[in-house]
Amino acid sequence: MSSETPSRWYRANLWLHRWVSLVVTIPFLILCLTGTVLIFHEEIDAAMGIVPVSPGLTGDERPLAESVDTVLAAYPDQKIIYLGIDAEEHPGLAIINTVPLGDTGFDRAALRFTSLATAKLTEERIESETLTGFLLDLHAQWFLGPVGELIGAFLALLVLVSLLSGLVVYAPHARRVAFGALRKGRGPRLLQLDLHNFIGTVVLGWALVVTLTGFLLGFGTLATGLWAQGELAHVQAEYGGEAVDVRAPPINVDTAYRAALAAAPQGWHVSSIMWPGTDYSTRRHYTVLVGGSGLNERLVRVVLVDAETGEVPGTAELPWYLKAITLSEPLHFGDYGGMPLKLLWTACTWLTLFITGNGAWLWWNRRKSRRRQAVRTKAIS
Amino acid sequence: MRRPLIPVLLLAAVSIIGIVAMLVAESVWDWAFLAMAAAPLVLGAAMLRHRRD
Repeated sequence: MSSETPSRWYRANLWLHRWVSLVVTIPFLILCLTGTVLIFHEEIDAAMGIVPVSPGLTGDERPLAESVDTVLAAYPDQKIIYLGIDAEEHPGLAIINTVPLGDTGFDRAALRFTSLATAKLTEERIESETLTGFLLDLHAQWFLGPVGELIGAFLALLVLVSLLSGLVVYAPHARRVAFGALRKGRGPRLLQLDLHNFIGTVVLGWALVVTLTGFLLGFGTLATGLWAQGELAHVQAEYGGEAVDVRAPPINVDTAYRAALAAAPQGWHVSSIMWPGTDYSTRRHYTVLVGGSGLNERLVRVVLVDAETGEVPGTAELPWYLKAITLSEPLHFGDYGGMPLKLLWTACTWLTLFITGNGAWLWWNRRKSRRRQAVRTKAIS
Repeated sequence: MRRPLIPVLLLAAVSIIGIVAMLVAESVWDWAFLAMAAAPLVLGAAMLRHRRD
């Protein structure tokens, strides 16, 4: 490279890599730091007592309707809009969202837990008041709500540009310096440059996955809104019917659970139930999400259950864009493979954090030495 | 220009396949895919141990 004049393609990528990376340095540092904590959100929440310790499944669970009755009795001015069952992360617990009676969305939802074995309330906290909730607000939305999510998507796009342009800039270097070689004893700049290139290649695959999924997650609220206004609105209009009592629908949650399970493919399980009269159901239907195993566990299907008759008028798959976003979440946070994967995620995050800082230092150092050189040249002339 | 990048891209591809496959896979295969996902880090650490330029 030294003997050749750099091509326009190379210079364009060098310019992009330098300036795009510098622009995202500070936000990216914040994302890496908050992301590191969020990798361990389950452990932190459990240690802080925000999520009750899962009692496990005993095989002797009480009907879900008893949990519902317990929550409704404890909060007479609220209604239930959501009940979730997560046998892997929270075995033995029902996760319930309540909202004030007039609400249909999750904006003011409060999180409740009941033990499936006793149908009694356990701990209760609101997610956004926790440390991890606070950090998630910062990491995913920059405290700006859905607009912040789009800003996050834009930042992810910039990081993606930085990664790809960095790859182009690295190519001539790879030809000259062997992979893993660190030129020690030839000044701090060369050593830092080799470290930057070496670590950059090591974390490239991981960084591409996390950046691309971060970009997709930035469109989460927008895509859900699009789905709600399009396909879901169509379903709501088609299956409208007479409204039921949304606080105490005629068909209880256990009947809706069984009806959805019967309509789902063999071996699938119910993961979430949304009550009639929410933004994600109709005035008389429960919306039940069912999932299978492996990839199908993430790619849930939607089952509508008539809250008056218990019939299932229809099932639907999520649109492709929501499937992509749903799959992006675990791939972004690395929380689907237990502690070994979380440690790998942490190592990659810190290495990326290091090359972000050392990249900024390389730019600053080059600028400083160029200035010194200019002063020297001026003095000599 | 492209040739020196092939090993780097291969390494990144192995890592990406490992990360994605781990989400899809169940039980015993998890470890194999975790090894793939961590391969660049492991290889990088091994290279650092053996090269002392």
